[in-house]
Amino acid sequence: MLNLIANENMKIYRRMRTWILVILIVAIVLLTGILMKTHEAPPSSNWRTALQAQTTQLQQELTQVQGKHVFMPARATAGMEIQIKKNQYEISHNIAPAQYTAWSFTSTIEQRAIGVLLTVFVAIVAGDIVAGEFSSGTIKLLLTRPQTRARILLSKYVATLIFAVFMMAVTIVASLVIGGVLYGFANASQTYVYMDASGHVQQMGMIPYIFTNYAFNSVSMLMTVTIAFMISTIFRSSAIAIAISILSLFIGNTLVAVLSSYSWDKYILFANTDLSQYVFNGPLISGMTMTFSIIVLVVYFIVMNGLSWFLFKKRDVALT
Amino acid sequence: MADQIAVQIRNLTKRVGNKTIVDGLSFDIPKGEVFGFLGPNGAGKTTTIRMMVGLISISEGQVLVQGIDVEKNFSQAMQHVGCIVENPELYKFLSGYQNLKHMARMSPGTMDARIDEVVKLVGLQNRIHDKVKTYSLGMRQRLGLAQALLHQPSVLILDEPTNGLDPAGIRELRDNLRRLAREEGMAVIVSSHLLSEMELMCDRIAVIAQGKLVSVQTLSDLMSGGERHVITSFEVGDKALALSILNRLFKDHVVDDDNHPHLISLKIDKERIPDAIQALVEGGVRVYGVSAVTKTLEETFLEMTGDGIIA
Repeated sequence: MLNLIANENMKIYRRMRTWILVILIVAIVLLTGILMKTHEAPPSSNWRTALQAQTTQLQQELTQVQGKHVFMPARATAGMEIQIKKNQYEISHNIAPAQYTAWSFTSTIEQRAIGVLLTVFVAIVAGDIVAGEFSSGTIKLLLTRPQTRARILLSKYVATLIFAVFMMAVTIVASLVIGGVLYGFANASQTYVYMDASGHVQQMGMIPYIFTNYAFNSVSMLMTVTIAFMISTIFRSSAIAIAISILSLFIGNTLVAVLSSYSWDKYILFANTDLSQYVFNGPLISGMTMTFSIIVLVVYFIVMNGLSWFLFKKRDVALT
Repeated sequence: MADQIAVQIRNLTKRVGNKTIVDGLSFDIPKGEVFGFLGPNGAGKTTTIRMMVGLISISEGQVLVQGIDVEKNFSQAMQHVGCIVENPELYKFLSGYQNLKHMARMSPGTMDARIDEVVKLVGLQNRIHDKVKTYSLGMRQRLGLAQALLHQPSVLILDEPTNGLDPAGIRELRDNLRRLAREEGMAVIVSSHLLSEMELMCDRIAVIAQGKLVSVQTLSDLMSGGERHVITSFEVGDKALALSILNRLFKDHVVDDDNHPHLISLKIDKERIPDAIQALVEGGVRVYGVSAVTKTLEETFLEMTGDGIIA
């Protein structure tokens, strides 16, 4: 099995295409960093006073709400609390607003620039790793050796996941290095303030926050890889596999929103792929829980991989 | 005798929907033989070969390689089989050596030393570390053969191996295959729709048409066709005179070649050819040449397979 994975790795990393994707990631991180740096407004000399004033005003509004003088939805008050905590943190740690550090830069890159793109790149490799062997005819080499078809498919799956981890590592390292050069590594203990699923304001360290986001992103990446594999074995065409898995990434959420009036909406795969909804901001569809989503994901995972495995094992490799 | 048989095919059948593509093929292939698999396009050659190497499921019957059932014990059976199905399949973005390494990793017990050995065998030492996309077709064919031979198989299966090769390449492949069969006792199975190739390459030929086995014969049997009558052509001076003499002696056996002013053909027993020559000479006809026209393999083939109507 290790030999088979070594083979798949060789076919991924000895290819120019893979390194173009890596270079693209680094280039996008670099470009984003440079753009952010050049468009950054220089902090005004009295930012501390301004921040203090804003905080005081927010606190006053909050006491009014709590004293029932003004009505305001819970979410809005939570938003105000977040802003107050952020301000207080920035004042006490001497960070001018909108000033980045290597840590907050890394987190922003994942959330705003690279997160989805990373999944797209992994889908390109995942969609091609099975179907590409069919279109080049090399599948005949793999399937006429003393290896079961299940092992061949599994080795490709594992190699794709290794590639996904590799690409995430590239992004994190590139973000930290470029962020560090542009903004410095100060304030490693910086915290991220957010509202949890039940509407309470919470905070966590920036570094755990970065890894939490990557962890949640890898769940949706895993599902995209699984879709790409399934489409690959059904259609045996890289183009279709890559297109459908990337499309699902972009229209998945829209689909869930459009079908929100139906009660079965929450069983759609895409309503469940983003597990971060249970930690940050609260679920997309009320009444859903983390456990529910994990069960739905596991069922989809087993069904889709089972289908890939069955088709890959049973179907004839007929004339090309 | 039984342990001399490398591959046994028993009632091998492939059905897709209600169409039978390969219909009850049975034959044995002994060690050290180059076995040809001949048939027009669409006869079921490739389907049969793909069933033999596990790329296509078998509807009925079985394939035994060294006595091991390909369907039931696929991995064990495949350790004895090297194959090139259609084209030599290669990863063009890898070097020749990496392609072989890729192959070796999939065949348990294949050492790096063996890679160097096959590289030498096919004569690619100087270019093995270059990327395959820089290789010529002939070099790709050699690398494909090296891949197939890497794990020292006792059965070599090649589907249409001469496709796209130039005459020198075909000759080289032919010599290689004959040597492997003779010196290493390998059973080599080659499919083709080209008769001329089969004539030069194979010891025995199975002819199939429309999925059915038409015959399995040695090359010489196939060519003589077991016929007693031979066509003999005479080159004569005075054709009209010769015709009248021969018509008297061999009524109904004269085939007049209308297109040629000096040629007459006779379809008679070999024993009667001297009689014909004597009669011509005594009748005053000048005879310039006598030649036996054996039926070509091509004619035999067309006779056996019908006129290529695709069912």
